[in-house]
Amino acid sequence: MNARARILRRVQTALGDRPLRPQRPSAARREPPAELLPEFVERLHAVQGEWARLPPDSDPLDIIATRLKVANAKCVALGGGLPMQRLGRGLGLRGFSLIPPDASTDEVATADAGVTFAQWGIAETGTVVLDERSMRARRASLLPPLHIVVLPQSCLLATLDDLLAQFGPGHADLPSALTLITGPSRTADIELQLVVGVHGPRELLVVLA
Amino acid sequence: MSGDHLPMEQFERNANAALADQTQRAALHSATQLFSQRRRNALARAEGFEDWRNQARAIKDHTLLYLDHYLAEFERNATARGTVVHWAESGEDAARIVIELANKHGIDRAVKSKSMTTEEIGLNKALERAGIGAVETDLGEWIIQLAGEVPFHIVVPAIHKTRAQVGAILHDATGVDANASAADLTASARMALRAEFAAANLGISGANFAIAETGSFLILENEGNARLCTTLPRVHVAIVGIEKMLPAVADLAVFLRLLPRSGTGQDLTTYQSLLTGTKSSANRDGPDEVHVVLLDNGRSHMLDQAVTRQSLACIRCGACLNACPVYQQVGGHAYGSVYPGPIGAVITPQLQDLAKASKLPFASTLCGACRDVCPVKIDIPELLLHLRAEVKQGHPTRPAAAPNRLERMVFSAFAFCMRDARRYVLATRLARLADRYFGALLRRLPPLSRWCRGRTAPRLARRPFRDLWQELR
Repeated sequence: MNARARILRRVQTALGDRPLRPQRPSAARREPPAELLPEFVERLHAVQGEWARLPPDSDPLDIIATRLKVANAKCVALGGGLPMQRLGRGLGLRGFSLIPPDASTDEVATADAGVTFAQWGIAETGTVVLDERSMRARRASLLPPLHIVVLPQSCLLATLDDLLAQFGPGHADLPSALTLITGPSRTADIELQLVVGVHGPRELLVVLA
Repeated sequence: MSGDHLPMEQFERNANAALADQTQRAALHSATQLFSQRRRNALARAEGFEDWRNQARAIKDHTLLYLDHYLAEFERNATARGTVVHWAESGEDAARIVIELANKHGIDRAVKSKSMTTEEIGLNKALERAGIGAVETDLGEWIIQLAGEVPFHIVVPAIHKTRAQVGAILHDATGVDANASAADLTASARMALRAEFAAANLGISGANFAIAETGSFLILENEGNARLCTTLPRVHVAIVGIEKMLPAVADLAVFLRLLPRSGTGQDLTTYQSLLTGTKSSANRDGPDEVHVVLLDNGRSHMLDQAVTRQSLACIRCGACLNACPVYQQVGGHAYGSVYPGPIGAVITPQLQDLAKASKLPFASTLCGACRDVCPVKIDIPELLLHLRAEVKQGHPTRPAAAPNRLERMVFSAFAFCMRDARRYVLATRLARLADRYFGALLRRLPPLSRWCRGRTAPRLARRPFRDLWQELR
């Protein structure tokens, strides 16, 4: 008998006779906030995230270029995806040197900033969600000290429930990595003092477009 | 505090040593008070928290009661997505699986993200013996590793260290000025650990939750090191206790609402990585191989009774540590176990030899503060009493502790008196007389003298309530 069989046997023996497996209990979904955008912004602000709001579907290029200049960023790591390609071309024309999503990790690590799109936002928590399949931005959103993420306002969800209900049997398959990001990287491991930018970005700007 | 584990059998001695360490006590006081306050603030903003607790517990109870089913479902779905699932009966088995994996790929350097489960099985030492260097990358955990210690708290491992102490440790490791600010010390750690990430081909993590219906697992964190550990190295292995299972993706929502609020008072931690299988071939982001080691290591035995089964509902938030009047004073190392505080006092004796951990169920005042703050409503005092009874009376698979004759006599006499009203009245009358004439003396003689060392034994009332009641009625 192998380890798998022995563990499962022990679990079965310990649990003994049980009633036929009932329908699994589930938690109630949380009430959505009254207005999504103000809630998103408030929650993001509470965790030291920056935000900029543009008219829906407008081009975020200007505001991103301005923010990159403020950070004195010259080299920019890009996420993947179609809208990102267009944005990347725009940044290239403005003189930023670009690192594509399939560059080596060493290259991505040298970037001054990462620019990516987000698949969704969550108003309840001020969170942006990156889907590995469409965004290919696990490294671009993590290694550089500044992360600028474009969130189409139409992709703003109310609650965590709304995000998670999209996945599972009978729904969409999960990507190999679904990453939820709420504010800049932080730690309080030394005398409980908050320090941002320990391993991930020190600054996070969400551009609501 | 000394490096390795203090002896668990000597909780009292450890506790007294901890009480004498004023620096540590001051750090402990600020930390536990701050986290308790932050938790209260977070709860004040979260309407429905009580409902979430009940719902989360119901999900955990259900999953644990049908754990065999959900483990098999997890394995099936994870395998279908390209994850390699391993089963480990013990900590040594889990370590062997990781070592074989590293050897197969010719890997001798690994990066680790914070995981209490890997602390539990002593993975770092096992890897070291096999010639594999594993570097902790959570800042607090790295400090602890550099100092050669064990975590002081399950959420904030190095809270007992002052900035000056951390400065000295990081100075040796990174060359940073020992008097640097917390921000500069952190920045030096970022730099040094980035080099480790670049050099390591194996990432080791735990997992907060595993999802049966999709074969996924989820890691919560604030720093980003878990993302680095699960993104950069070629191979990622997650050590996951079998109790981490949840049936469905949608179940995560309620736990994501409970865990950060209870642990650090955040509405949500900075990062959640929900990982499912291997990456699509077109992608350079993420590891080529993903392995999950499902670890038993004593957990399956805890399933057999409802009272002990609830220990497996724990989501390791650390709220019970911050709320515990004993932990608040003595801190994490005094317990001598990987899991300290109230939850440590109940799971350590069950995961390990009860005889070795027999002191831990008694390291509590039974005040119930832990139960009040537990996000999944584990009745820790009930468990403590259950384990105390096991220590004294034995267990089918575990022998009882050596009987204490005097204790037995006292409790037999107590039970004899309590079984009959007349005996009770007589006994209390005698006790009152004894207290009146020999009270001071009795308090200076054993066994009462020992009890009175840290407490004041109140004098018995001259007239019992029973007599007063006759008049008042």
